[in-house]
Amino acid sequence: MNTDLLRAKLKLKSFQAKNQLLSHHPHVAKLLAAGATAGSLLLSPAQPVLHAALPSASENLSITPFDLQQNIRDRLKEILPGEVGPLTDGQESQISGLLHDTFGIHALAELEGNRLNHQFGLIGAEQHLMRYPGDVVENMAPGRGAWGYFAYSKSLLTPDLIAKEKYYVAVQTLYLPDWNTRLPYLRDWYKFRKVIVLNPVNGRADVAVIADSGPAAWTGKHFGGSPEVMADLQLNIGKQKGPVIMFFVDDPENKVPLGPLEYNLERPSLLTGV
Amino acid sequence: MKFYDKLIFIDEITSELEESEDREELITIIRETFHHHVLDIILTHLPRSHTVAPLSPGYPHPMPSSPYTT
Repeated sequence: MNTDLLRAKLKLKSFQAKNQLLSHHPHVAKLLAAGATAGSLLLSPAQPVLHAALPSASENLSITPFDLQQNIRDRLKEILPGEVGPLTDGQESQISGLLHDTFGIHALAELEGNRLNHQFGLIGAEQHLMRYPGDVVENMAPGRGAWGYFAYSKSLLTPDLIAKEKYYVAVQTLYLPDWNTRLPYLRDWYKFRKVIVLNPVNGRADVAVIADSGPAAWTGKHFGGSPEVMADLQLNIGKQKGPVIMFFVDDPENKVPLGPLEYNLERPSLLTGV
Repeated sequence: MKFYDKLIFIDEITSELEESEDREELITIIRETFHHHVLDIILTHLPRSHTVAPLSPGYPHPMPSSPYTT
């Protein structure tokens, strides 16, 4: 079986199992979200709690993730300018609509009055960030991210924080026009702000969080992506750089999972053929 | 290492996966799915007083409609 198709099926099954568990035993959500250890309820979940709407059956995928990617890639060709640069209000609106139609998420160029300097720009590869003091992983940046450690110690590292470091992006907050004058507010607003990052060349998309600042303007790049994000977007080869769309995800209830977007979260029937 | 690893042999399923760079990711998803199913079954059948209390003041009793109660 095609690996992408198999992954999509397994993910749907996984979400169904998690949703079923939480619908029967809602009290478990707190423990999962807090990353409770095996000693408390013998839980050791690997991911944060999420509640993507799912159908009762997911046996027959009629639209594959590849189909979704091809579709959004083709439709973006009609919307985006020929090279990375500013988008018009109309283009941003069209892209928001397309992202909603395709993935069932609410993604916007501007959210709560905040917007990045770029929505369609170049992304480059970043290293892993140090999650806690003493953390050592392969391909890790020497210093902490712009928002410091994810946790103060290894024991405080939750599955949610692990996922945040795994799927993080860097954005140029330092160049925002009001960054210095509104620093206390903006610093908190941008920390772990959920975004969708989409490669318009192949239609592959990730949901990630903002966890670092950069890259510097002289690099010619506008965003940075964690090793996992770059791999998911298939930008981890060659120059490890490419054009992406970066929109905020309006997700106040934290329902949109981090990682690859390979199905429509609001209308899974598109995938299941129900 | 899960507490049910000696009771449920997930390896019988994961061994069916072909070698690929995505294999570990797929195994992780399979393990998560099993984990949530197992927890659901246990919590559904376990008397409330035997769960790790206090989990939540609003902890509900197992739902009669659960597919695992019949």
